[in-house]
Amino acid sequence: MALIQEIDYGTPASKAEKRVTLTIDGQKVSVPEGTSIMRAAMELNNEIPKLCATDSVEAYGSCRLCLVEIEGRNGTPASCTTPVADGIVVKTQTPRLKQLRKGVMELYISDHPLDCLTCSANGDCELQDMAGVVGLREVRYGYEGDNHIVSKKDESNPYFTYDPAKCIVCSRCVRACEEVQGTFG
Amino acid sequence: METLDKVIANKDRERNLQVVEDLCHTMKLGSLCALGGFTPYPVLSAIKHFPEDFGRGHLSVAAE
Ligand code: FES
Repeated sequence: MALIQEIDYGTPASKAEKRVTLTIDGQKVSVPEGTSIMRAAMELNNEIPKLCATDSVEAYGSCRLCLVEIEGRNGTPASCTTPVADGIVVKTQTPRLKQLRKGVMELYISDHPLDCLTCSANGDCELQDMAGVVGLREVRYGYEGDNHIVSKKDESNPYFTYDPAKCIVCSRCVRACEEVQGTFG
Repeated sequence: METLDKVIANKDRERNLQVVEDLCHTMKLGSLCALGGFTPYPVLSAIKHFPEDFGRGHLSVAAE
């Protein structure tokens, strides 16, 4: 279990002075320009599902779980990489988004071992939490195809183990090394 | 691909075809890059316009 449970706003705070007002799920919120939609939603205690974003590193947009709809705009942008704009109306929960998030999550779990109960991260695992949040109940792809479940772990580094079977390729570890620790490459 | 192979091999055909269609919809809107967003189009059009090749539609009904 993590020792300190802090609120994760998803993306770092913006230092801009100018403020921007937008509507998220019917609630108005005013945030500094350059803030992500995800962070603005979190200011309202509206937690958008996410895996690759965390507020100690810059947004990256790889996991595609935080997709939202913006009135008048095409498609479903990622709320972590999309900055707020004045007057936009954002929806974070629609049947279409629900379907998409579930579809994305199903793909993740289709290449992930199902050993939650014996996994060292059990109970302190964002992947597990999000699978619950999006309501994933089954993986229809099956496990007989090509996957990473039998891949060997790389334990050559004394500080971390890289297990391709459990990795979701979000690049968070690489970004933390580079942005927080400053020891990348 | 693997799921389409199952469709072609007539393994749980309708269910797997549904999985392919769901995957296409997820990719269309969920993809980070334009390649992922576009790839589903030819697949979906093939299923839509040539349903008999996937075991759907008139031909297969006649054959069964
Ligand atoms: S949290 Fe936005 S794409 Fe991963």
